[in-house]
Amino acid sequence: MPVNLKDLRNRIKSVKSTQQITKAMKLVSAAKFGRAQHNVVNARPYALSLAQLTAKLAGLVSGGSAHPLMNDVSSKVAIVLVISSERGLCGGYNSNVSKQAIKTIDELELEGFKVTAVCIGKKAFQTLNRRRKLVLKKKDEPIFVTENEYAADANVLVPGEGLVSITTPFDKPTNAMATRLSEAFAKLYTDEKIGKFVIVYNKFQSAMSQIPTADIVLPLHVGSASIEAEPIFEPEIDELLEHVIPRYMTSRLFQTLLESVASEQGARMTAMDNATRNAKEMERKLQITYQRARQAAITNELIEIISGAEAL
Amino acid sequence: MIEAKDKMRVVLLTPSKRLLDLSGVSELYFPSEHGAVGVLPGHAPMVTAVGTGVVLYSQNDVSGFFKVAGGVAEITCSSVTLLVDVGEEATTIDLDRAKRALERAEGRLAAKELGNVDVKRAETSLARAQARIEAVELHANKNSKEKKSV
Repeated sequence: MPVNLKDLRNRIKSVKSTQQITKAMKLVSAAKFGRAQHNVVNARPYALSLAQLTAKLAGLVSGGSAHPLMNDVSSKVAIVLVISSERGLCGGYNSNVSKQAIKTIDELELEGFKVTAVCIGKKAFQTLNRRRKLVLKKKDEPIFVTENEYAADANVLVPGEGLVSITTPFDKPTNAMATRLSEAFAKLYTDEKIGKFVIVYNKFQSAMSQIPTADIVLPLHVGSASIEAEPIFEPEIDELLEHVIPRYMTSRLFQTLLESVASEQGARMTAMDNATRNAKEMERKLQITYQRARQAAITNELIEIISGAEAL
Repeated sequence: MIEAKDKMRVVLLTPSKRLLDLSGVSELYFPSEHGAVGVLPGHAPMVTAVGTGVVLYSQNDVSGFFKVAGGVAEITCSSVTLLVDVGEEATTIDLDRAKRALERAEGRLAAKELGNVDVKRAETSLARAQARIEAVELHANKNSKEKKSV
């Protein structure tokens, strides 16, 4: 069996170094994951309290049309906000969210909407851009928008039909960032430029499982909760809702961003853990092959020496 | 519900974290949009908009100060929940920075006749800086009093 020992040694060496890299990446994302999860958990009390309060207030306003953001708008333009990551090597994280985005876009188009996909994070943007003609039926080049640009004029986010990429680093999402996004989309909605706003992202479940989710944000549904005694409102309830509803929307966006980041790090951690384990397994197999080949070579040499001695 | 009616629970939340969750509070002041509001246990249920200013609570002899800006507050007879956009504890405020911001904002407002000044933005930062400084000063006063009494 002519197995080249040198080649095998090189193979083992390269598998080992790959293993080291994946292991390091796993450790890094484990640390980032810890922080991201901490942020998600810390942000929960506010989000929950605000959701309850919003539901209570909205329940008190009869007719269910407590705020313009909750009413239907006749516009047949929809925005799908796709949140993916800037970097790869995180298992199915990006491909899952892209698939979900394409599915959501198809569904909206069946409902008769013209869809604009707005991407945060490079990865889903690249996928959607490759399949732009098929999915969005649009040949126009995608548009790149920075945070300042859409904060100044939200209209840049809806070129009618197409693909927009928001170029914002969002490793550490802040409430200010969520506020800017939420204000821009809320303005488009109240101006009746868009009739639907959906976010597609990976809902954070645990380090092991992230669920690609399409979340309809606008028209805003707040649910309703009953209140024991009607409280005093200062200012009047209509004016108060002007305060509460936009904050509720922002809080939902913020939660989504935080969960996306946690999901990304969780997915990367799991993927890199698997990769490390696979590399270990591969190294073990190669090691056995190497030892067998080495032993075979020695046996061969011995046989040669013995038969040579016999011939004398 | 069996609970001492002379105490209430105060929860102060910002979008990114919980600043305060304390029961047994006997007194709370916070800035509403139309001036300061004082809350004692057993207050009538109320929902109100929070402005920029200082939140002050006292529990027995302990009291604390926070600078907050924007949000909503929900008051029930046994608890107060403050949901604020921004909040920080007095001890974490950088006083020098706040003073510099105050000067800058005053400067901008003084120059508003010249035009080219975003008056609304300057006013907001002025209010913010004032609230920060007030929170720090209240906190400092409180501590110096405590030291004297010891």
